[in-house]
Amino acid sequence: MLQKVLQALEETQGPVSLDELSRQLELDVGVLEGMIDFWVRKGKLKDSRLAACAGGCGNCNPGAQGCTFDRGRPRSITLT
Amino acid sequence: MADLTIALAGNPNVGKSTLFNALTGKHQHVGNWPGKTVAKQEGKLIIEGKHLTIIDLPGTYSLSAHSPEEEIARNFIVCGRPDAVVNVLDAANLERNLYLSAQILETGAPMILVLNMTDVATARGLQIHPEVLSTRLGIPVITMAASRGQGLSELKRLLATLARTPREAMVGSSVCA
Amino acid sequence: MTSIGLTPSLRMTYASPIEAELTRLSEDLGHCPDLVARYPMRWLAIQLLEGDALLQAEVERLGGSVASEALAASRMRLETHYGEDLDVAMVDQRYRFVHDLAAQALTRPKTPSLTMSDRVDRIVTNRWLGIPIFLGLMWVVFKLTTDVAAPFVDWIDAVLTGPVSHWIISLLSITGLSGGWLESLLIDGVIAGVGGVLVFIPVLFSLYFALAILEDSGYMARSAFVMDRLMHRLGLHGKSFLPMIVGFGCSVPAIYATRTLENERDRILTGLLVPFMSCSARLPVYVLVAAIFFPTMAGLVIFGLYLTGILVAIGLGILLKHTLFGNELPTPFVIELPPYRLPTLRNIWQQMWERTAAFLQHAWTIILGTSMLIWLLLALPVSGEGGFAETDVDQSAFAAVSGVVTPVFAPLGFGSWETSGALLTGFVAKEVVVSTMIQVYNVPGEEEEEAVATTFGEDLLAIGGSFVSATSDALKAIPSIIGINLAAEEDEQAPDGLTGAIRQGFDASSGGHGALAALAFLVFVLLYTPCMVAVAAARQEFGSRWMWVSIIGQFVIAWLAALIVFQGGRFFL
Repeated sequence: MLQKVLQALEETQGPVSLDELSRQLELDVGVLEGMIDFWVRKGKLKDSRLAACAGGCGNCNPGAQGCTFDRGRPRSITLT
Repeated sequence: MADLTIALAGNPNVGKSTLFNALTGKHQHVGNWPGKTVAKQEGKLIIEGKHLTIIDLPGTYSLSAHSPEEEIARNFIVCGRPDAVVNVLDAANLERNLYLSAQILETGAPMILVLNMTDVATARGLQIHPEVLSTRLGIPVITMAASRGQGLSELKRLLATLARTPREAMVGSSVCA
Repeated sequence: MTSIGLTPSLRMTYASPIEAELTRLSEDLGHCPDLVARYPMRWLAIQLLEGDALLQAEVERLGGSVASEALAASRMRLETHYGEDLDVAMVDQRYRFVHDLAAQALTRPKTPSLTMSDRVDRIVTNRWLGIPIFLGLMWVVFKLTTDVAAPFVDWIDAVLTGPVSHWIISLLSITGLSGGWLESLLIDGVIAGVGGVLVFIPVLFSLYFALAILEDSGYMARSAFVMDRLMHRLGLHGKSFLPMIVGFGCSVPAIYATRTLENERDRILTGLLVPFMSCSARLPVYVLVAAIFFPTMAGLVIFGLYLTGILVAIGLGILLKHTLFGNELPTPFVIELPPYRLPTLRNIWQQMWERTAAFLQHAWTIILGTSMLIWLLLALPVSGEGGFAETDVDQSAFAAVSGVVTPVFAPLGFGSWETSGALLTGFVAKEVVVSTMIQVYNVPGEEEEEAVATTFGEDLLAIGGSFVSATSDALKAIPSIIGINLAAEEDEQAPDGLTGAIRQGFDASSGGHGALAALAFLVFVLLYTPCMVAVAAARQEFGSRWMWVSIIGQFVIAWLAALIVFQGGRFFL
């Protein structure tokens, strides 16, 4: 089941939404998210939500919750 | 007879805190888990003359100790030897929630499943069969809609019948401290 | 006492090789009383095989070498079956167990019920409707930022050039410092420069308001999804639109946001394209110039500029992808489209405030600094008879310095020292273009005309009164976003000093095609280097070679695009 997630990602063309992927794999979105988290920990997938902490903000007012301009960016997950 | 200890475990946002408040009312105490910045919620419930200490464990998706919250939940379930782990699940997101249940199952701790938010699940057209879970796992399963107060009395009735499970004496350890 | 059994009777079984090792390992560890007293043996064996570092250290400490060796041996035997991926196999089997359990305990509806978000997404992310909807919303955003904010812009402008300037002059005369260079510095330097930029805070406030609503409601993620799908179809690697969305706010975090791209070439390519997204600091320049030259269709001009930025970025992206950056396969990615929700006032307010605060921070540091430097350069005479702070601006050091680069801009229709100077300072930050223009086009002697003696109290009353009427004008402007015009057409006011001076300046430098030159000027502002901080970010992220490619590339593209607008427009008109 876990491998299927990586495989599906390798085979997709273009961007795919989490919902689309969950329908394609016939998995609940929640379950899929859990599996994605597992692969992120294993270093096979990259989650932009976690990578964002590494980004800088220049003088664009880095607030308590990170760069204020960066917060609007949607979360994305990629193969590494 | 000493107090019985009940641990509430579950994923984040499954209504665990609501249930904790409903069970303990005003008899709550908030501290910190030793050595951690995570809040420890503890409360008392007296039911049919029985004194229960209820611990609200941090919400986690697994017991794999990848975060302080997971470590706390795991240590308490394994080393804190609660007399029962009440595993609260979001019925509308059952499969993801059952992953944690599977891990609690592996610890061998005595457990009760609470399927919360059954009203949301029904609204999404999901049919839950608690009796199947109960037979398969061999433990009590209670359906609940904590926001509407449904299922609470059933859980209390069940907790009132609890007896201390005879287990080996606890020994301190660095992981279990 | 009726005791209900709480101890689970079902045990999850792993694949047989793992089960064999679990049995063996729990037996071996069971010889160590310290471990038995603390942990359930099977559970401990599972965690150890799954690779739990904490518990492994614990076992080494309590169980000694016997326990560690037993664990190592078990792992070794399993390696032949699973290689490095024993933990993957175990977690996978747990997922399967849970999946089977859920399948028995749960009947899912045959056709999953569509949530509200699903229904909206069918339209919003539709293959054909997605992009028109995105463009339509952008149009609304820029109508909002120009029409609704305009009355407030006028209000702040009136307050700063009216009462606030009077107060400063009165204060100076009390202290006996009036009429000197200090007055000039405060009025022509600080108020004209910093104040000239502060005037546009309502514009930014409404832009940030619109962006916050789009982000908080969940639409922004959809727009990135739709745009990325388009880029993918155009042969561009996906995912680059995600940093670009950030670029509408500020280019700097957008450049850092390219870190989420895994491929180095994609990262650099996106880093080169991101600055073409029109950042919020450019908006005041658009509003200032568009209000002078295109008062009836400022929103359309600004919308067009934003669109031009996106098109240049996509076009250049395709060009570079087929040349410099080779044709690699795009990396697929998953994007989270959060469920739509009603934006909360708290979130919107927080975003508006934090972003505006970032802008204000700029005003106090970079804009104040450059305004004062420009005042100094404007005050220094290099020719003519005027003394310090009394010279004609034409004869100032600033005019002399800017004059050097003026020929570069002559073919674009804005080859005057004033605009050249504004663009030069614009390398520092885009807001500074506004402050410089206001300083250099500032017609002296204007304040004195309207200096009617008023008391402090009367001033405050007037400020309050004009704010109320500005608010009512702004409310009247809201229906105009969807095409209903409530406000009675006002007679076009006679151009005041600044407006007239800017119009004359552009007319003179373009041989009578002032509006065309102004449009070319805006296109240039849109496309050239956003600011020094963005340059520094590019250097930090991609190295100085790419930084120079970026600076020079942007300049060349901006110059060419402005040339096409001006010369092309002149050809047709």
